[in-house]
Amino acid sequence: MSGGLVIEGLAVTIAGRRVLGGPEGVSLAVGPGEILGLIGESGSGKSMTALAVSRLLPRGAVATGAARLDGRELMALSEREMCGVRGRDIGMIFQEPMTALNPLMPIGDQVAETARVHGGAWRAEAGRLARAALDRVGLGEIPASRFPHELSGGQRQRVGIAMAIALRPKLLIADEPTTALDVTSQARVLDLIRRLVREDGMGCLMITHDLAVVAEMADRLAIMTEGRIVETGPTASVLGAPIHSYTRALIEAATHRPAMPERARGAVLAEGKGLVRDHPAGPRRLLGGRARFHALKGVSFELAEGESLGLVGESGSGKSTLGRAVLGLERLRSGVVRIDGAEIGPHARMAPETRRAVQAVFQDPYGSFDPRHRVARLVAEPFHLVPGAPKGAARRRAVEEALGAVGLAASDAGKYIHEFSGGQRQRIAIARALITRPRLIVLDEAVSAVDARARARILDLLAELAGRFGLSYLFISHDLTVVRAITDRVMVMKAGEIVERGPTEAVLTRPAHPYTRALIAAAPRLETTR
Amino acid sequence: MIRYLATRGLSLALSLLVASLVIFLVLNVVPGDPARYMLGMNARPDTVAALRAELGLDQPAAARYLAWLGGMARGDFGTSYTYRTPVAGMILDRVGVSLPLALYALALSTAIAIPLGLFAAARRGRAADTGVMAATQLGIAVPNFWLAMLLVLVFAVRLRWFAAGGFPGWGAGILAGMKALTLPAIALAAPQAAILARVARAALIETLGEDFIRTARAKGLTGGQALTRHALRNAMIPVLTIIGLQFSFLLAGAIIIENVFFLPGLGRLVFQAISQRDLVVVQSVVMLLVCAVILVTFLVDIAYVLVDPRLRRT
Amino acid sequence: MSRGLVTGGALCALFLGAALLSLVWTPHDVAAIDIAAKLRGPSAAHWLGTDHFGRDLFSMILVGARVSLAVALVAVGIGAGIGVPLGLLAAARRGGVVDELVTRANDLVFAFPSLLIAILITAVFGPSAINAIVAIGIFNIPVFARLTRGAALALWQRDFVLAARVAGKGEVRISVEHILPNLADLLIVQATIQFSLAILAEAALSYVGLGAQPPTPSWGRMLAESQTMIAIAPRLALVPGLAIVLAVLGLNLLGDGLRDLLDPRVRRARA
Repeated sequence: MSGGLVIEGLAVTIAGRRVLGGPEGVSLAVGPGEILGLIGESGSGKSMTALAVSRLLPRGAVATGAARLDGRELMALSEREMCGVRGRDIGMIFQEPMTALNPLMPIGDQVAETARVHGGAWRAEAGRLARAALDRVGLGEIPASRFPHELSGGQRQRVGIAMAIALRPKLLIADEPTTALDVTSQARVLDLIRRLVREDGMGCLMITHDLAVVAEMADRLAIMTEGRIVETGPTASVLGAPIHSYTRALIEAATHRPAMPERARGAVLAEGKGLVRDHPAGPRRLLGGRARFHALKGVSFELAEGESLGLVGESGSGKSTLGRAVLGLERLRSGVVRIDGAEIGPHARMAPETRRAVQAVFQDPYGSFDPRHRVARLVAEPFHLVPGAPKGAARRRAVEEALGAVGLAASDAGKYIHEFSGGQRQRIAIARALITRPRLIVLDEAVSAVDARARARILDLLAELAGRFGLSYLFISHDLTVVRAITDRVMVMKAGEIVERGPTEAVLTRPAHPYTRALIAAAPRLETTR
Repeated sequence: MIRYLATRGLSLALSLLVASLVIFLVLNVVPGDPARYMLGMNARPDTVAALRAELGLDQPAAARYLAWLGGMARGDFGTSYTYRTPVAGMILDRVGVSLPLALYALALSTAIAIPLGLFAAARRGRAADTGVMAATQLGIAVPNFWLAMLLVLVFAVRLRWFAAGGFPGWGAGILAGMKALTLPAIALAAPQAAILARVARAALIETLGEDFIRTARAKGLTGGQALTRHALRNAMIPVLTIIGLQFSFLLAGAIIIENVFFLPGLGRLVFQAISQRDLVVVQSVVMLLVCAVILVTFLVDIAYVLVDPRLRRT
Repeated sequence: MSRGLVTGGALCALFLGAALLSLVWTPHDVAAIDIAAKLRGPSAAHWLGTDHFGRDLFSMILVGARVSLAVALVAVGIGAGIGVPLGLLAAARRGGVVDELVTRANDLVFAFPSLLIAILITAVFGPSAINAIVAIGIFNIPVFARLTRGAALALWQRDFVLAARVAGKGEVRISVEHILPNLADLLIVQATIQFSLAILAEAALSYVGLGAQPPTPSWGRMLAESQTMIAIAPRLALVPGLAIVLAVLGLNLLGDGLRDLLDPRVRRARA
């Protein structure tokens, strides 16, 4: 193959240590009009491959090997020549639409800049080019004079795409382009990329951690781990008949269904009635206070003993607010949350007995722990709620027991949190939640920030603990696959209201509400290709 | 935008009002009887009584405070007890020296610091950057009044390029006036320029790590183009904050530097007033300086709006 | 450890050593006037020479170090001692009464450069070292309050604080157990910076006669007294000036070095 991008033996070394490529280097090819999905977990080297090809590696990183675009050797170009290639021949899209645009520059100027730095385009002409590019990405209604903060995340990502394709490059590198977006915008942005690739006949290197995202759109897949490509091939054959054990593990993890124990629904454990929560929004007015944003608009729910209840919705739907309300952390405007019949909330007088019955696991495996404390102290923190909590040796035993329950060693109690991986940290968070022997655990996007294989193992752990300790879960997530795997019933939330609820299987296979239907249609699925 | 500025303006006006109250309380209420304080313990009772009448001390404090505010609004700052002349006129003469000096120093400091910060940020981690950083580290540690003395020693005493002090007045021509203010302005500006250059460098380097710089590089901009077209403007926000803060330091610094160069500015006036216990003058000068600082804060707020479209939302 | 940190530490140790030494020993009595021995150059008896009253310059520098150190230490102590708890409280009850008051008071105090506060105080109470301390201290309160509030607000958004709330801990307990320890690095670095600024401010106030009063020597007043003789005896101006520069430089280098040493981003990159 002479056209398109051909990478041969690409390797990256930082301070004498080879961080990408292994002994033989990375080799890949992306033909014109072809979409190659580059799949890997965090730290696998997939983003570094893209940066090496575009010669944007951080200072101190040395790339060796070959990368040819339409027969032209990129690695041999001077920095000035490379500047002529980036933007003109190679367009790039990145993950974070919220920070990828200059906040102080109108979007039209930012798109036009692509044309202007590559010469030949006068101001007016570059402006027309920018307008045309914005129209192509579906922003025809948005004036070019808008600033990034006036646009939604999905719209900002479209501006990023417009910048990348304004000069009709030969190659489009998309690095996790939809990871930060909600499922409905994700589906639309993926459609857009697919359409542009077909229309312009450009090659596309699509980098993602999510097999389901590329399953429907990539022509070929390359699987990467620890800086090396372990398998490449047409999408259908890689997913349908994987050769390498790592690929098989990845596919198994992405479709994993933990064995949730069959349990009878008990009495009502937690309930909310008419919950209303609002925040000040927008600038303070001189008179009459601020406009208010309603995070919860009169939500009611019930959660039974021994039940795993899912709560799904897009960002800003109010699902995390509802989770914090169940934890008694939200100042509600009206409504009441009861645990076992006793009211909880920041102002309610709560018996420690009630308070400790509900514990939580949060999303961020890095921010959930005070970095200055050892694991023993972190895990034991909720003992604050237990009058006459065990001290000394008994306390140590309790911590070790909790760590054992989540599959960690007793010796881990003496370590600091930065010594653990993301998946291990979420296990420690679960151990912390278990230590007061709660009856309900609120899991707020608890597996969203961990890699697929670690996620599958944590879901198994949650299923096992549910049976062993008779736990109930409120499982908050944007990911329908995960919710389907771990919950008995589900509630779908949109703009502060619950629009649909029912048994998980029934809701996800026969959705009644149009919003649920839209969510399900937009969610990328791996099973359909098999 | 209008609402943002109106809110900020209102809040600053409130600060101004509270500041005036604090100044009034400290100088008029804390000393007990200001007239006796100003005249000293050995003053004759009839002199004290005369001054009390002149200052209106038979009135309650609240009425005196309101009268003071009202007077200032009309441009009447009272009469200096020592010089027997209206304070407003005295201050006006002195402002003609102090304000140009502070602005001159601010211009110098900014003109040196921003290019220096850009230069160091563009060469971050290399020898040139290390050199600039070491020089600014030293610059911050030098007290401005000591630098002023050294400048006098070198350029006035040894080289005789400049006069050691004094001010010919603007009547002698703009150039002569500027020349007399040059050494003081350099002494004031150098340490501030060192601080500002460090802030500018740090802000630029932080901005260079942002995602949108990577986007700009992906569009084909060179490192230099990304720095000047995208990073510089984004780094202006912390730089503006520091420039605003520096103005108050420059005003305060000017008060001290005027003493080194024997410049007839507000600083000389206020120190003479303190030694003569002329509270009317002290009160007016301090109020004026606080006013200036708050006004500059407001100007910086306006500059934020001009730089950052996110604040223009109405 | 970086070269800056070592240099800064050494200069600070020198500064501290000079201040402590002056408590027990100085080569000469700093108040002893000996007109016959005036304006002598450096010698075995007077290491740095004598001033226009024949006082020993080296002894005055030692005692001056003590005055600078004492004023700066107490002033920064006042600023941090009041400012940090206020900032913590404001952040813990964001949008509450304390928060509003702290923000307003900050705006107000920032309108008064420390020199203006000193002028106000001196105009009423007369000049003294105590007034310098109070003026610099008052100015430091909002510096620490604002810094603490800003950094604490960011910490309150973190999930580990949420976890502590789930564990039933209250605002004060979380502030003490989780917020303050995580701010400690930042506050230590800021304290060294404020300390160096306080030394500069003390020197400036003494220079214009609003600080320590005779016969207590202070670096700022030594400079003021040397000014009229700068043409004939530049040494009198150079020595105390260099003392100030070295002390401030030492503190700044120490602060920067500590920041690099304690900054988690730098630390992680090094690990």
